[in-house]
Amino acid sequence: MKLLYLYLRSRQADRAAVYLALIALFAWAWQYTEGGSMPRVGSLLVVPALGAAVVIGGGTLSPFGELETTMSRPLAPTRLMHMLGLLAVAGLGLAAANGWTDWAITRNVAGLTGLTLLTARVVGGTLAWTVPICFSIMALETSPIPAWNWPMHGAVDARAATIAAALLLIGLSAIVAGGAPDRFGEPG
Amino acid sequence: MSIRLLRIATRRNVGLWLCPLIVAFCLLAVYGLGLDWSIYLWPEMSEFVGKTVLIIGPCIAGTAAWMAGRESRCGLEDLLATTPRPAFARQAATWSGTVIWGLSAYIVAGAILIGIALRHAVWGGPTWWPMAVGLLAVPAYAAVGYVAGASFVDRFAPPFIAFLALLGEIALGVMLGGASPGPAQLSYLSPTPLLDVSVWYGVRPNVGLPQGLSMIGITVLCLGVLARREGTRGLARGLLAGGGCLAVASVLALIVVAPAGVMDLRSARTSAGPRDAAIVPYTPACAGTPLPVCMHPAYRMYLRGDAAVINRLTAPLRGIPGAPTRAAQSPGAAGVIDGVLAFVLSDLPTDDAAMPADLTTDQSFFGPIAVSLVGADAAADGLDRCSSDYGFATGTQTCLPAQEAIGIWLVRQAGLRLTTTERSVGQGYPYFGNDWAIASAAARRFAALTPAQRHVWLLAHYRALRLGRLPLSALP
Repeated sequence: MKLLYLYLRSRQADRAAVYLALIALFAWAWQYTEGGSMPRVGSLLVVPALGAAVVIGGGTLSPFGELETTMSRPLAPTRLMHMLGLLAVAGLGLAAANGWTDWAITRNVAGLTGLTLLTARVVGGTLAWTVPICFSIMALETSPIPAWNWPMHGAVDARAATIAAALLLIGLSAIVAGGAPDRFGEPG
Repeated sequence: MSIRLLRIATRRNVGLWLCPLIVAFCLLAVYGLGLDWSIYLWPEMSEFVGKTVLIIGPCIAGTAAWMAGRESRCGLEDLLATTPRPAFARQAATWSGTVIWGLSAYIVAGAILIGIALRHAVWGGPTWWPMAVGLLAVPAYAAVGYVAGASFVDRFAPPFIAFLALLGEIALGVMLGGASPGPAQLSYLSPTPLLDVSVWYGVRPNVGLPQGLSMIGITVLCLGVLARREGTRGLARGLLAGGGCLAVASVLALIVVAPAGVMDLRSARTSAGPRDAAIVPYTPACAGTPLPVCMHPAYRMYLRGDAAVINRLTAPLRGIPGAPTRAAQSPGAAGVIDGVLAFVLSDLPTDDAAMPADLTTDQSFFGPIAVSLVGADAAADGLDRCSSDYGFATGTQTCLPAQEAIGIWLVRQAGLRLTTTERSVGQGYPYFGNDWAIASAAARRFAALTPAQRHVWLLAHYRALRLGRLPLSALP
């Protein structure tokens, strides 16, 4: 338990939770200004979910760099709990902000988080946010119909949900196994 | 800030990693925006180049935020406080290094797009101001990100700042752009506002100067804040004053120069009424077919195929009173206007560029033409006519049952096929889909007549049909 506590402190999980709460508040305010009865489409589906995903990705940075790999205990379960915890805070926060009525935002949080974690594994935690941001801009700017543009699809779209779930699983397994490498020698 | 310092700051910069990624995503995004279509128009390409800032901006803001926190993260603040040069010179070098990578990404992506346009576009030339605004926006994004990153050193700051930059783009460029006239003018403060882009009028409204001024103003203001933070007070005062003046000037210039909103420009273009702006001069490219067809020279590659399709569609109407005697591509208003069949080369009435390569067999081309042939004159108000719904990915045009039946028959006799498409409201026929089964059956009955019988019927009923005064029961 102490290891988990120290791990979460080293990853500034408390700050991440504050950022996630801010994003949920912002999503609620956005929806409030757009009108509660409006169908949730376009930017409102993608942007708050993206904000949550990139904050979660920021948590993958290790303050100890390569040193952490010499630990005697495996960090995989701790990493998994950290990521799932943040994901739960983000998902529940945005679902609550959205009035518990539309799960598309929660699906997008999961999928975009998966993409962020996958990026973190490949290019390091420093730039984990780049691919999801670029992808989300593409999703917002281009046609919402193709399957690759799953964040813009409605909550009932099973294919979009499958893609998001697959991305999350791949991202989680990639990051849990080895963590995010420190490519720039600048611990977070 | 020496060249050597700048070289080190550029070489040891996260932007180096980011640059190829940004270029790849810019090209992918532009591809999705319209490069997968077959025609290349200079106004669109010029806007695409400027629009790459949509991706480059947030990315470079986040990168700058990360670079700004580097000294603090590595615990070098105390050590660097002993250097003889002012801290601002060091910070400015790091900011410049980040800007260099951002500009490199912008220039590479832009050069690729311009190269494609140079190779394929057949008419006109580049519009420089959207590209120049994009170029000035990159340092502005980096400056905002750098100041924010220096003020909040936090592992979550870079992604959060990138996210906020994206949010700013959406709030300013998209939300305000579609708002009522007052706030719509402020949307032009974004480097990527909604614009009216066409070969007919170019890129409108031309707000390049105020946009450029605002970008420079933001950059100078942020550098002023940074200089003040680092204790270079004299320089900070000058930068803050200069940046403030530029920012105020740009807002004032926007209020004076910018039109009410881009939506008004677009609706003016698609209406059949008088034009409030001059069309960019051009010599039409025409086909000497039985029904002459003229098009904008930028679309010359479509002329032969389109003229053939239009002639096949209108062949049964030749010699019928009220039928078009020639066809011409229009900036936005479609329909039969004073005997001229005006058609738009797009799947939406407001844009020019989005067109499939196999245009002649695509219903987004011949569907609206068939609708125009059975609907009322666009200029004659107060009459029943086919209605269009171009809402969010719905794109339907429906008519009265008799009009739909003849429209379906016209399409079929031309050897073309109407198909269902996937829309946000589900599968459906985008043209004549009001009650497809009934209209289609009536079209089949009409097709069973001899050509002479059809001609006689059209001579007697075509005008009433187009005015929406013919019930379905009047069809044979």
